[in-house]
Amino acid sequence: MLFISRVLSIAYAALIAFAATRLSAQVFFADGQDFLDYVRIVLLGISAAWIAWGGALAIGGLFASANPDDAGHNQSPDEPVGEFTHSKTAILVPIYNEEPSKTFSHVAAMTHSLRLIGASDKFDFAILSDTNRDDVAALEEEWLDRLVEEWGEHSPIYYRRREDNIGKKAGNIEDFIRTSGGGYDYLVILDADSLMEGNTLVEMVRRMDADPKLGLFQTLPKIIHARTWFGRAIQFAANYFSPSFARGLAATQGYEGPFWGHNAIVRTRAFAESCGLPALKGNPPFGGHILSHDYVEAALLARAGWRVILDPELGGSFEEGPENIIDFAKRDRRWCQGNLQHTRLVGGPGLKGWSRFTFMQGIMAYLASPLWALFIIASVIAPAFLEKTTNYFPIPGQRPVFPVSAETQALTLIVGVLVLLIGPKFLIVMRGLFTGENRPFGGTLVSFLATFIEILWTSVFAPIMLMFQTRAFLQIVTGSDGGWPATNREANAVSVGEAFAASWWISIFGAVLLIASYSLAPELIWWFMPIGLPQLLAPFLICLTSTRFSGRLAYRFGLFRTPNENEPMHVIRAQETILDHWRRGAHVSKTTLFPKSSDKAQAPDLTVSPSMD
Amino acid sequence: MKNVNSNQGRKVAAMGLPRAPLAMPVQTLERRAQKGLSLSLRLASRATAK
Repeated sequence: MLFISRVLSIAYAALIAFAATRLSAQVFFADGQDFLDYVRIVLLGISAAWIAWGGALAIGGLFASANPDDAGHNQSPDEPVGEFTHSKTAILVPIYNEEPSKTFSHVAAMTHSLRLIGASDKFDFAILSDTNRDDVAALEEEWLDRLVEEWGEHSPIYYRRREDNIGKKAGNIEDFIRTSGGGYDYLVILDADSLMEGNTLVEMVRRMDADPKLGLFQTLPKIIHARTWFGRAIQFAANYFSPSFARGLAATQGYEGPFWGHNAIVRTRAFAESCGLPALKGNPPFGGHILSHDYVEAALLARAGWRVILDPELGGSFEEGPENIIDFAKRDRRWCQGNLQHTRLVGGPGLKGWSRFTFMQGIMAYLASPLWALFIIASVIAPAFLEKTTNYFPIPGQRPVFPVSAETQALTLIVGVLVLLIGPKFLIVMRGLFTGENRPFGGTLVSFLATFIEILWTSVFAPIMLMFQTRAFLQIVTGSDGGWPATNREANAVSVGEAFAASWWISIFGAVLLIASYSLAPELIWWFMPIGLPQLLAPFLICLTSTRFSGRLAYRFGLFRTPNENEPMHVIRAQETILDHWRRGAHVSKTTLFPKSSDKAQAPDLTVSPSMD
Repeated sequence: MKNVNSNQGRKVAAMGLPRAPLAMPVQTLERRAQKGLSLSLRLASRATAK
């Protein structure tokens, strides 16, 4: 089955690439052949293959069975799980200059969720701080006191801070394993913004217990707590589209991954034996510590014979996402550098073939934007290379050759690319209609509308992101290290000034693109408008979509709502309430705030609905 | 490395962060002769390695 799934996905991408190449040759050769035509055909063929690959995963996901009765949703949040394991698990929370009250409220909610089901004694929490800002470190210790005082009664909560950040997050985890790993059978690896339902944590341990060859089990974290237009659009996509893509991904990955670095459980012994990462020779960006360590760790586990499994069906796994384009681009810059660093590892000894293919996919994810940018530039300047007068007798003495209109093929090509891009999303809506998966999103009509708006928005957002990714790519291949900026996990509106400072060069590119296309190929100006206009307006779009107002507006119109906003899972409500109380300086009473599920009718409404304050 | 155990004096603190060292051998990941994806990337890699 795995083999068939892989072959079908690759064949689909290859077929689409072939069709795109053939069609584009007809279009570009209609007015004669030149060097730029060949460049454009190759670029379009590669790009079409890449888009089709994403589509193949989504389509594969459509046919994979979804189990709405997944453990995270099905299990009552306060039903005792009994003696479910003899194993001991550490829940690792690596932090790095984040606002501590926020992160610690996540830890508090998870300890509570575990306590409700009687599983506290099987889990220890370890907050692993790599914070290098003294003011943040002081706050961490301050909030830790409160966390331990209020929530450390059942699950032990440890805190350790490294003064050096050797190896960054991977080094942080490795340091824990070297000092304390022997005490635990499994490690749940989280991010500072991760949140997991107690039942989900228990189920992860059960899966590890049940399969001694399982080295790593990855859940699909759903994004929560988005407050801006940008954040909400990402949140909707992650909740609504991602499960299908992830099902398709799981079907092609089999036992070889993926690992996304958080919201996953690993077998400590397997991880320790297989995943000691070397520092690569040379300096960053290509040398030094491995940035995108998760892909590498998955490949190393698979190399050592351990199974690495993704199960998108297990619910109760959450994270938070970037709230504006600037933060998104910053994170993307780091991922870009990490993935391009994998060019040095693709040929690593003993790796499984599919692990190498996974590395190449990660690299391609960041090659795609520069390729599209090159294609756009080549398309704008191509008309300048056309002969001014049509030559009806290209071969002297032979019959005349009349120019052929390739308008139909051009239209087919454009429609084809659009279908490739948006088709899978509408297929997901269709599937939801039959499986009932649209219901928690407000029904099929609401899901359809949200999908339509999301596609419009991503069409606007994509040309801006294309520029950020292209710049990141160029910076990295010319040797510029992006460092390790802390992630901003709180919604901060980006001012026009900040947005302009970050994206003025995108506006200039957009203006040049539109002027050039108007001068060189005025008949094509409308085709370039959807690319050039959003780029020209980038600072305003960045600013507007980063405001809480934009998020509230979307929420009021029922747009981009997700199941966990309509009916939040217990651990989300707990986290929101704890943080709300902490920030107001109030004490959290566990007994009154979190009644038994049987008392739900009398329970106070704890939903800080949905954090739109 | 600083090991701040802020749990001291409390019930959980008495346990401390467990000392149970586990070896984590460094893995070999690169071949001696690198095979990059493209010439430009290889060149950039070499340039930054200097």
